[in-house]
Amino acid sequence: MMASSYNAKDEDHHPGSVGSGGPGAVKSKKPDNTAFKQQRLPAWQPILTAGTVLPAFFMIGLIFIPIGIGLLVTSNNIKEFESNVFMYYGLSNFYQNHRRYVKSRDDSQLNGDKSSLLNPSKECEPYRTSDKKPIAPCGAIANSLFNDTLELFYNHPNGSRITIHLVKTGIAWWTDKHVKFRNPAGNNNNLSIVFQDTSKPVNWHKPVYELDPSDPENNGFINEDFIVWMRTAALPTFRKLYRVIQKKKDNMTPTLPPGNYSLEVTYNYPVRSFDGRKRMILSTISWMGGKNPFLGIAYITVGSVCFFLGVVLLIIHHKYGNRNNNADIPN
Amino acid sequence: MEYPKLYEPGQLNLLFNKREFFICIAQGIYTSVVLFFIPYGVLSHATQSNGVPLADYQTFAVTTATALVIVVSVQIALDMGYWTAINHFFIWGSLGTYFTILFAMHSSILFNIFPKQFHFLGDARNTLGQPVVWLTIALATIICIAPVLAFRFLKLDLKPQLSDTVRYTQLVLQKKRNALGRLGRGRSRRSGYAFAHQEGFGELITSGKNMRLSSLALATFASRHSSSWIETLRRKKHANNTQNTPPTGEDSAASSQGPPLSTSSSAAGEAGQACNEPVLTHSPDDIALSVIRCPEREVGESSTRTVQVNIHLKTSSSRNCIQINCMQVNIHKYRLLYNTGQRVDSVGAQKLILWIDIKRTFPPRRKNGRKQNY
Repeated sequence: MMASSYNAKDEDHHPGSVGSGGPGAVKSKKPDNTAFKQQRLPAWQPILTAGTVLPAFFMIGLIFIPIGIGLLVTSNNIKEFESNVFMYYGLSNFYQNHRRYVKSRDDSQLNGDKSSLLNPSKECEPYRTSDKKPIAPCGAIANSLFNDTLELFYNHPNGSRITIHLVKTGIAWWTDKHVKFRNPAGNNNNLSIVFQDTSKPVNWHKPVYELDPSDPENNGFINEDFIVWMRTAALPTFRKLYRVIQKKKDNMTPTLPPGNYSLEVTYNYPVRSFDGRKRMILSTISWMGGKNPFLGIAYITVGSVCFFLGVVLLIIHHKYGNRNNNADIPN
Repeated sequence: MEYPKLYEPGQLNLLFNKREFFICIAQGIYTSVVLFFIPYGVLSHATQSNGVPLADYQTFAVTTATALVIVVSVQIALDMGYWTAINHFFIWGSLGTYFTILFAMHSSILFNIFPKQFHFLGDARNTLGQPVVWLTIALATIICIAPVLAFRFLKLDLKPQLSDTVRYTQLVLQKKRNALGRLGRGRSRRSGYAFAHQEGFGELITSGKNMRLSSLALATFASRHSSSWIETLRRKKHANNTQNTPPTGEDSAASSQGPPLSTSSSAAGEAGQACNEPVLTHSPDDIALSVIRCPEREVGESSTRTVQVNIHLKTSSSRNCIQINCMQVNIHKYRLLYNTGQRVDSVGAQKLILWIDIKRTFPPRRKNGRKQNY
């Protein structure tokens, strides 16, 4: 006789029966009847139904396309040279993102730490010492500082050449200028004493305390051109802010009136050895920053693709979709 | 074990095999490409509002990393079908932790202690304060997620799997129940008895196994008879045909054979047993269902048959009830399965399912003075 016993007795072991057994009884293994242990926590159960996904696609499309149009219009509508004009220098084929190059610096020395000033870190090799003296600032990044000088002149129709005033401060990040880069403690007006027993980087023409003798706030490690250069660029073709041309006090005249300009370059920086290129860029900025059509076009594209996808999904859902989602559980 | 068919995909290795793995790899490659090239395209020519270009290495890094964390969180959220408080805590918590650690690592405090290690000073605040960066992150997220969403929706719409149907059904029923009874907050609480049992004990009873049904189980079973239970049984094949028990039974149609009541566990050898012989044993403290069987009739006889079914429900515990008349058993319905409407010339097992109401005419049993829950 086939005797298979179905033991239904075990399945509802009441917790009350635990105490009834006394000292010899087996403790119940049933977990407590709390919501957490019985997996009865209140929950939100989202399901991808047509009613949620299709409106989501349409919404994304309807939001992104106006944003893209707005960005494109803003980017194209920058009134050329009517507010602050920014002058950049650009380099091509210059890999500031090379790993060994990026590591070749000493941030504690640049922060003004005395011990690091005289004993730079090993990462700066081979630009760590020269003439048996430590280099300040050490490293390959500092050594390759861009040292061309650019000057802009307006050729007035009456024949005279007007120098356009270029502001050299306010071009670096605030945190860089005021926290990250600090001169070593000492006499701020005579930095050569502070930097004695150090030597200048190999490729520089002048030492670090002569970068801008006229302005003690822009001399030494806190020189803004130096700080801008030390912030390594991400791509081999990059541009860095060089100078700012302030807008005129009366907002009527454009900052750079139309006409003939000349640019004088004091060419110090060698780029031909690695087939690099140098450029000068003049640009005005909107709230969004510069003339950047990529973002606007990308938003319009993605918005229309999403909208189109929503339409396609709607058609597919109508024709082939399984709308019969009721309680028909097959077995 | 409500839906045993849900275990099938796991057993058949449908959810993670070589094809799924390569699809995952492809999605990963696509996401990586998007997450690099979208910030690359935007930031290479973007500037801040004070003219400083955004194309430096640290801005790029923060943008890409933030976009990555957000895309991954959204992907996880898409995969989660059941958001309890714990899920919310961990998902939003992980995003919050990322931003906290990011700002902590880029703070001046850590920089002043370890300048060489924490040289990303000021980066987070500078980068994440630019609207261009957030627009870039939003764009990258949508580009990464929209195809996934479309694929999932299409798969769910055109080829829903059993787990999807079950989840949808549970949700719909929970909502109906919430709307009926409670304050209807639209939330679901999983409980062990979300559905009535899909298979009641009828199969067990008639399959001929020796069994003991506890009082609770039987009371539960008896009070909930749902039609899906019948459908289940109806759809089953003649799997239990092997019992070839005698074809006796009462039928409504003239020409069909009556079903036997097969309760014996052995298939053959029960012929010739007289009626009134219980074939099911009971055990103490249980309500036993003992079913009497009548001897078999020969095949080919004419149709109308009667079957005597005696249900003895008794407890042998002497504490509360000694005899059968403590329980009142009403057979209020019976039904024939496999009612083919024609003469059946071969012995085939058919089943008689009884719906039994058990009315207690006395208070429930007590053990040591404690009230038992039924």
